[in-house]
Amino acid sequence: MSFKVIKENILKSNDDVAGGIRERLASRSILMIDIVSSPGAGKTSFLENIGPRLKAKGVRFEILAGDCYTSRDAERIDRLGLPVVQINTAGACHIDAQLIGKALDTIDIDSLDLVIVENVGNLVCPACFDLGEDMKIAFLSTAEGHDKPEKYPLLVEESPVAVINKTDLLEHLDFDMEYCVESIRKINPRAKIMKMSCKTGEGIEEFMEWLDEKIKMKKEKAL
Amino acid sequence: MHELKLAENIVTILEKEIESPEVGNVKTVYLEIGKLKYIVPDIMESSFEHIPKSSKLKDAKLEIAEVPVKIKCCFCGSERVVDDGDYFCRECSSGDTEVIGGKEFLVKGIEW
Repeated sequence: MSFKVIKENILKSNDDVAGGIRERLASRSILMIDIVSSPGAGKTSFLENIGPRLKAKGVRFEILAGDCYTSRDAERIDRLGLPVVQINTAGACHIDAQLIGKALDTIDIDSLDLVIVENVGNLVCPACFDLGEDMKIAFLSTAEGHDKPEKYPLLVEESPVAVINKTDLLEHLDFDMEYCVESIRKINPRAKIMKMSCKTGEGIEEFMEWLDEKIKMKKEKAL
Repeated sequence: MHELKLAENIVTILEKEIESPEVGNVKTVYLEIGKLKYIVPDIMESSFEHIPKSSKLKDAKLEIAEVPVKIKCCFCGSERVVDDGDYFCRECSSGDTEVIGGKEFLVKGIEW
């Protein structure tokens, strides 16, 4: 019986590409955020909300919209005249760094301040893949139930921001906000938690201010 | 269900490692996988079985060591395994902790 020690990261091929993307964006001071949620949490509605605001502020951005099969999300964003590239994963449950790299190759990134990735709806797999982003955003919603942070701790641990969307539904649900917030804090005490409703607009301005600050920090190389 | 993609990556890593003539038909592939990576060992094993591979690898079985989630307190330095979903330091109650185990994703070695 013989043994050979290997010790190689199984995700090395992804992580190497992600590292390249991170350098490519850093050299141009472009911020990249990766929005991760379960299906139906409201990622596209959120982008429909913040996209026009970003445009009005003069922020130059591109949305990379991931979907397993359809281009429905990208079409919704495109209808608003927002810059979007569709990424189809052909059934795969996550976007990997290679797909992001290819999408970035199709646009002129030199003129950008911000890249927003709308990941495939899934709280499990996307959390494992580095895309070269500056940060992931755990995008939760009240309709999913308050126990999701506990069930998917890696995403919460990796995300400096957790959004709890659909607060407008609270009166119809048994969602325990205090429990949800507490369970996020238990996993990631430093996380910024934002309560939001893409329907009423609650929390949107708070997010815009936070994003504005991060874009500036990236420009000043303070991120 | 990202096991299939990962199994492909494992085979790619192994194909490179078995090129050397001293490596015979691989019996066991040792993996180290952190609990935070949500890998289901059974799915990982069947995914690995289904990926096309060269003859030296075709009978190889995976041996997966799961690594528990471990944190280190950035304030007092104490370390512990997280078994309750609570990432606070139990020694000094600080919330400023760092995950130092549970995210592993390694091919550790092969046996033939």
